Amino acid sequence: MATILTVDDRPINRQFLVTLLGYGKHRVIEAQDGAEGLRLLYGEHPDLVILDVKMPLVDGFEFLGHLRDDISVADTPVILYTGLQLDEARRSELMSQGVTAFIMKPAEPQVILDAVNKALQGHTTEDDAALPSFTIDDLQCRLAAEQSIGMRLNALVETGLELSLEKDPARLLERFCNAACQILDAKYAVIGILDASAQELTNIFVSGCSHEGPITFSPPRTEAIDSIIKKGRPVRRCGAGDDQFALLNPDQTPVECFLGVPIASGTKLYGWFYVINEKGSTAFEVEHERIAETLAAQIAVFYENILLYEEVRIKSIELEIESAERERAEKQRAQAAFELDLARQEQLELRDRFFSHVSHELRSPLSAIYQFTTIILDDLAGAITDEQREYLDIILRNSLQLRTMIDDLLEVTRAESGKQHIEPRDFGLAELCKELKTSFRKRAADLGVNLSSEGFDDLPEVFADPGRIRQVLNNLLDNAIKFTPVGGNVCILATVDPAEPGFVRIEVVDTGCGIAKQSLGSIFERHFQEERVTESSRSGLGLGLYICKQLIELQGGRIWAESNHGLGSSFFFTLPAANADARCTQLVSEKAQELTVV
Amino acid sequence: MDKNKILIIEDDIDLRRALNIRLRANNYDTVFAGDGIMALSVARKERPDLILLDIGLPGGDGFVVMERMKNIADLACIPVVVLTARDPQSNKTKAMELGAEAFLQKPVDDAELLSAIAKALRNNAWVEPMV
Repeated sequence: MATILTVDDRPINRQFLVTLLGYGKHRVIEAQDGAEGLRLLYGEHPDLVILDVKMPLVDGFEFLGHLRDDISVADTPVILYTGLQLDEARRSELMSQGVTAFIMKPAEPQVILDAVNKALQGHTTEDDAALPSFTIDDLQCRLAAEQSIGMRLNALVETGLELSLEKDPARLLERFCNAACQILDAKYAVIGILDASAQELTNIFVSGCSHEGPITFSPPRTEAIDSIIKKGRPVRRCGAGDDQFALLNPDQTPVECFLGVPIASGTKLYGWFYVINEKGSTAFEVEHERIAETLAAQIAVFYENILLYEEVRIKSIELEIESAERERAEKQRAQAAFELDLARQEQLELRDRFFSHVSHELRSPLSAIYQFTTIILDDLAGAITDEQREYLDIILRNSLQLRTMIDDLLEVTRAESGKQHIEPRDFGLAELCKELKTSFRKRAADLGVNLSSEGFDDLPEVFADPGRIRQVLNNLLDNAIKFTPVGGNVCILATVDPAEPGFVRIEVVDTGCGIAKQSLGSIFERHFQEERVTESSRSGLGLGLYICKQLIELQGGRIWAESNHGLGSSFFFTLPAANADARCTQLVSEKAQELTVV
Repeated sequence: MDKNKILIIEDDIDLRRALNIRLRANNYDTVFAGDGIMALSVARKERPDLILLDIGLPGGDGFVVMERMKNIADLACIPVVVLTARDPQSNKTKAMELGAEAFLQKPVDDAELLSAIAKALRNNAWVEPMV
């Protein structure tokens, strides 16, 4: 007895060789591709290899190469069993690599037997006379049987292909049942599908039942069925006449032959199927058992595939639902966020409109107060006493303060909704400084504060909104004068700081009470007013510096303050210089710095 | 030389009175209108040298008044100074586009008001027919 390795990706071809060469004659081992073939080759050291050429991954030629390279198996004879047309040159090349024979598919069994015998002659073992002991009659008889089995195998493959397309598990089992009945030449075929615990039947399919209509037959768990389930091995009985088998017959008639196999894939048992024949019909042989096993293995794989497919389908539907759900939630969230944003915008808009309206409504009466106060002060309503004049001045000052507060309120509202309007252009600060000094001269003189300016003559123009700069300087000067005691000084200084080229720096210095160190950082914050504010120097809403900061930063500058508590304060701000030269200088110096760094 | 005549279009009676006193004290003649409709008929009748115009008015606001004046040949070239409580940020551009000489926000400094009026009159002196 020799060990023959058949390497072929088509099960039907392997089956054919196993049937032809196996079963007591030789030990035939099967590999479904080159890789598996090599594993068996190295593990089993077969006496002969029957090799297909066209296979996935590792094909026949590659297999041959590996075989010849490995000394331990290099002299194993190889029969090429292929559908491939090979020319003479290729053949002799392959012969030189140790191929002993070429067999074209499809081949007569005799051709194969001859080739195998010839190949094995070089590998004589003690009891290798097995094959030549066949008589010709024996062979003829066998061949007839093999051919019928071959046809069945073909039917099996075709059925397999057909069934592999089936997506409905019930229809798959039903069709399989009918096909198995035919292939195995049986009168009845029954499939039972078990639940997960392999205890209860969940589905039964019957083929060959004599009566029409729905099948109510449910096979009992007889000893034979139990054995199939528990041992996972086929059960084949012939000529038993045993009563237990009659119970398994859908028509309840006596049973002559029974063949049952488990339907299992890996370790998972899905159920079983059996075929039965009555007396006088085909008896189930070992070949039938093999085919039944193959059928069962196939159906197990198909069934498993369908279940997996079903599972995947359900999972994908679940996922789809889940993702749709998530998408919906996402959309809802986005919508909610959008609406919230819209509501916030509307709220801001509403607030802006409200402040705008309030400021408008406050201005008209204030206007009348101011106008009539100045009319009386200008003696347009007759002469007034000094005392009256003094009081009217107080009214006037307060109404102007009220106006500033209204302006500030509106300005802050705008700043916070990003609607501050800046119209920058090139202009000189000298003119503005002169105007401001003029407008503050009386006020400063009244309070005994000396007001001066420095550095404006040769100052480059700036690029800013003149109205806004006036607003900022008004605020800073007003504060400086207000907080400087009699005899003190307030000065506006303008310089171009060499440390900050391209910018003009303005400084408002006073010799007032100064600002505490810990407050310096927060004086530009909204609603800040340090405790220094006394009754005589009320300064409104405390929004002034906050607005200054907004305005300066909006124009590309910086604003900050320095102070020695008790000695006075300095407020600084910078503005971008106007002329192109200055801007160029800035760019150049930036580039120079970059270069220096490099 | 005749006094320049100013038409004060203002719906606030108190302010109108104050402006009247202030402008007369500065050697101007004054006439009044309290709403947008009266404004046009007074302007037609009085042929003022300048119009001091409020924006928030009943019977068509100040912008409407300016637009209508544009379509009336006799009134089209009378200079307009806008004096309003409204926010310059959203109104000044529109007023200037409609041909206003100046945009003043209430409450306005007397000096600022008078200089704006004088400037507007000066700018438009050449259209005055020489009598």
